[in-house]
Amino acid sequence: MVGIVIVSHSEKLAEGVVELAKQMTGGKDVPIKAAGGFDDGSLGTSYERIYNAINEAYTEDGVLVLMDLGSAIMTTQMCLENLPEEKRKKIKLCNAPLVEGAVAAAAAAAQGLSLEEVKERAESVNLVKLQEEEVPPEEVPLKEGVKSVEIQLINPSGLHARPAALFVQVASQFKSKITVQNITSKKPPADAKSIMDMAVNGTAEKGEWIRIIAEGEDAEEALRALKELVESGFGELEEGKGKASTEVEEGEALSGEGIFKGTPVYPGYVVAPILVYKRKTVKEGVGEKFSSDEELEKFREAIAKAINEIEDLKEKVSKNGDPKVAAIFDFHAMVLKDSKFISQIESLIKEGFSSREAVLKVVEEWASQLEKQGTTLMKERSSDLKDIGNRVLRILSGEDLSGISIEEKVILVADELLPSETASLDRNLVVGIATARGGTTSHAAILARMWGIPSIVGLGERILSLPDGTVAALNGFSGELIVNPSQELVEDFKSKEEARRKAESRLLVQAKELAFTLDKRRVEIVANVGNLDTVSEALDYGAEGIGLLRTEFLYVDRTEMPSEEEQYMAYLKVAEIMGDRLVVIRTLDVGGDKPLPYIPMEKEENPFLGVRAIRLQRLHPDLLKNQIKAILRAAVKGNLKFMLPMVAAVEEIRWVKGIVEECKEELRRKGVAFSDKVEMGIMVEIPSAAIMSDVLGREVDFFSIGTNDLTQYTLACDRGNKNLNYLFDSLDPSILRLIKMTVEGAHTHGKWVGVCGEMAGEREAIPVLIGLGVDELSMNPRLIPQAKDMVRRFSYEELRSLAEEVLKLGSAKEVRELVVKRCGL
Amino acid sequence: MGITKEDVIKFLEKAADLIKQNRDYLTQLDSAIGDADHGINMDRGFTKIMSTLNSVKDKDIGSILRACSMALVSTVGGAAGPLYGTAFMYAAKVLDKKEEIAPEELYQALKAALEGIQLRGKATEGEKTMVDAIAPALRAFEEKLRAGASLKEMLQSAVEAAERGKKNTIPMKATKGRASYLGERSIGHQDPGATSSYLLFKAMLDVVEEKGG
Repeated sequence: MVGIVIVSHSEKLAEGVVELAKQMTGGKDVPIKAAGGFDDGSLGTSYERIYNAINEAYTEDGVLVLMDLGSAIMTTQMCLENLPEEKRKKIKLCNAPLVEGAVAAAAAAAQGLSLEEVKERAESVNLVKLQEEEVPPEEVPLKEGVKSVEIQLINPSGLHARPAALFVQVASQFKSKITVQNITSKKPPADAKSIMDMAVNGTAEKGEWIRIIAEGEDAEEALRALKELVESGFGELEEGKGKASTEVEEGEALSGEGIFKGTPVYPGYVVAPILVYKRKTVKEGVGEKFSSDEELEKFREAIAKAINEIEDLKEKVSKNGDPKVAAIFDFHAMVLKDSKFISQIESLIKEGFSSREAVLKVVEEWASQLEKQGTTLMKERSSDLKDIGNRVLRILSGEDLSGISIEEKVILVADELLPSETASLDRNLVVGIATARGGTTSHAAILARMWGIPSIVGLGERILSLPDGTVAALNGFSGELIVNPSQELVEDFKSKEEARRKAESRLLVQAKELAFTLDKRRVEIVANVGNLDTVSEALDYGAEGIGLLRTEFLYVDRTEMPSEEEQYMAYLKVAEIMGDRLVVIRTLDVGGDKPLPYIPMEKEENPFLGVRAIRLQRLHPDLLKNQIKAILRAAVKGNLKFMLPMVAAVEEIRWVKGIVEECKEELRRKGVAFSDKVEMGIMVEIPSAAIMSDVLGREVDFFSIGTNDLTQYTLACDRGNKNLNYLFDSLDPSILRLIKMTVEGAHTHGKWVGVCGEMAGEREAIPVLIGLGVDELSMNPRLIPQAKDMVRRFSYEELRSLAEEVLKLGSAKEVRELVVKRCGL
Repeated sequence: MGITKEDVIKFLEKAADLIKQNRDYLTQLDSAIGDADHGINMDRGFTKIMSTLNSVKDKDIGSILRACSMALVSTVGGAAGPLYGTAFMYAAKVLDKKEEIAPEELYQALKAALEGIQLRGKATEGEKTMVDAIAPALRAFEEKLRAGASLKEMLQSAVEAAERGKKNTIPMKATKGRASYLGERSIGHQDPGATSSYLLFKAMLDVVEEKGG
């Protein structure tokens, strides 16, 4: 029978745990020994006590040792090293939570399980508990027949793009056959489970009425869920719309000849001959007779092969670490499995068309329908569809379509690049990309950024008529493509590029070190992260931690609230990647401008001054509790802290503290492991928080200044309003004074202050922020190397006097001028 | 100049002395960022070493250090116990059966001690631990050793580096040990572990200086 040893700093704790564990042995004689505290009754871990306890608990089946913290583990390891080899082999250390682990281990040992099994039982206690937490699914009443519901669309973008995808996602969860019909514009019914059909026939504008018809055993359930989704406005995000509108439809040639202007996508200076990419099209066999059966079989084989190819491509691309790109191919696979798409092609084949003709016809029809939709996202989907069509056609004809054959280093010019074309490019030979169409969110742009190829999109159709081999200079900073550049310009580009690369790689190497000012004041440089995929990227760029982990990614684009477990897994993953480094998790920051389908939110006249962030959580405490419990649990494995967005007053902090206590109590009751020492901070985004920081500093462990919102609220100015560009600048002395107040308020209580707004990564702002006494700067990971370089250039003393001076200036413009002059930027 | 067994015993006495003198200082440092017991613990550990020395002083250097290791782990309840205990244990392995050692051997023993500490505590430089004093001290020691300097010069240089190292822990944020629970609040305090490590190097230098002078 396996023996068990409990090691703790406290003698009482160790003995108490032994007592609890013994209850689980059902009268079996499991040797369970306590090794807690020090001989003189003080707290600590005693080598001798542990050594003796292991020997006393030792049996031929081995010993499992459970420990509390720090030196308990180290001292136990020392004991093991001093035990004879044959004994040592039979002793395992176990990192299970002390109490739960001991209880589970005792029960397992009493059953006569092996040492490995006992250890596994102990270490999996968490999982067992969590499974118990899950509520069994409710019994769904069985109903027959057709049901329907009519409903008006209230969300701004209607039933298009993302809302349509959400609709399909929800509809697909049900067994019933579900169709949607736009009854206002009298469109034909669309299959609610087919993304393609929905995109073409199922669309509807805001204010239009749709009829949802469901037929099947769970028809009623399905209708209820879909109705709720529509009524919730699909949780539309301002953000999503903003992205789409950055699209540049067509660039224009500048006045000087041979210069094209577009939107820069990835920076760099490149000079190379251009290669205009012309897409090959597949010739159709005309007038031949086909056997439907054979063609059907050929078609089905081609689809299967196409899916395989896409899986391969996806794997290849995701190895390079960009899940966004992998998601493009997920969409391709989804279309190839779309029953409506397949059945349309198959029915054409059955009518006597060749498989190639059928594919071509259906693809063209759907693509042109998508083009007509008018939204950028749908247009990009249309290029996806053509890409898919080309793939299937190529497989059917046995031709090689996808390869772009390149023999020398070129700037690749194209109207737009299809995802699989871009993915198959030879990255060593394509030194620049210039496209006539496409926006900064197009696939080509995403891939170019991922691979670091200097690129410009939206240069206009005229670039397509340039002859191959024309030398061009591509400026990925300004978005200019200069054709037939002068020798002077070529030299200029070469030296600039060389300098850029050198500086980049030098900074990247130095970014791995901590950053101190010349007089040795440490400034922590950490990263802002918005999803799990960028966590390790942040480390690559030299982040010393994560100063802002946005958690909205866990909540948006879905139809139900993420569970505690799901959040726990997400935070745990971050903790595992970051190890002991700082991770500050910001609790959910959404509001009337970014509604969530599963949280009822009232429509507000002025969402930015309404119920958002912490204010929303006050109305829905479960939202916050779920998140805090997940954070407390994951904090066992890492240096996690959390902070509250949009705090305006001390009551909010006190309220959250009560919630945190409730969470701890619940976790304790359930016996789930969690960290009791998770620090809590607040975002300073509202002027009142900055002004009251000396009072709030008593209540919280740290502050993080969100300068974007702080600027917006202080200057009463929407940063998106083009007419107010002259006002919106975070270096405005009013903002700097608020930052100063915050730093002073925090430091009075020995608390630290970070800045996580955009200005934290801005060259002209960094010296001022350091001078104001900010302890930590959190920014886009890519800006970290440069920011660390900035920190190292100056002494804290000189920046302090610079900060004092700028505080007396009148405008952001004056501040910038002085900083540039003083710091030689 | 060789280092004799007697020198090692003098070093231990000197170290016990220095630790006792600095007992309250170390505890005070630890109360800022730890559990306020480093001075008390270290003093208890070295007092125990003193009381066991008699029974082992006729044995070889390795055995003496091994006895120190056991004395430390059995009396120091905090992390310093297993950490210094491991350091002495690893140094003992290198110096097994030796009655007198050369500076090169001392260096190898110190290097093994540092490796032991890092293996046990998983700390690297910059994490506000004893490693921040010991690692630079060893680099300084090795530099002088390779340059053919005297043992005194080696230890002088090592003590200077350890002193700088302990001071450099002030702006650091602790990411290991009890102090790491304080996060940013650990910044601004000198690490007690780095301080006691410095004292041990100081004790070595004192012995050599007295002997030479």
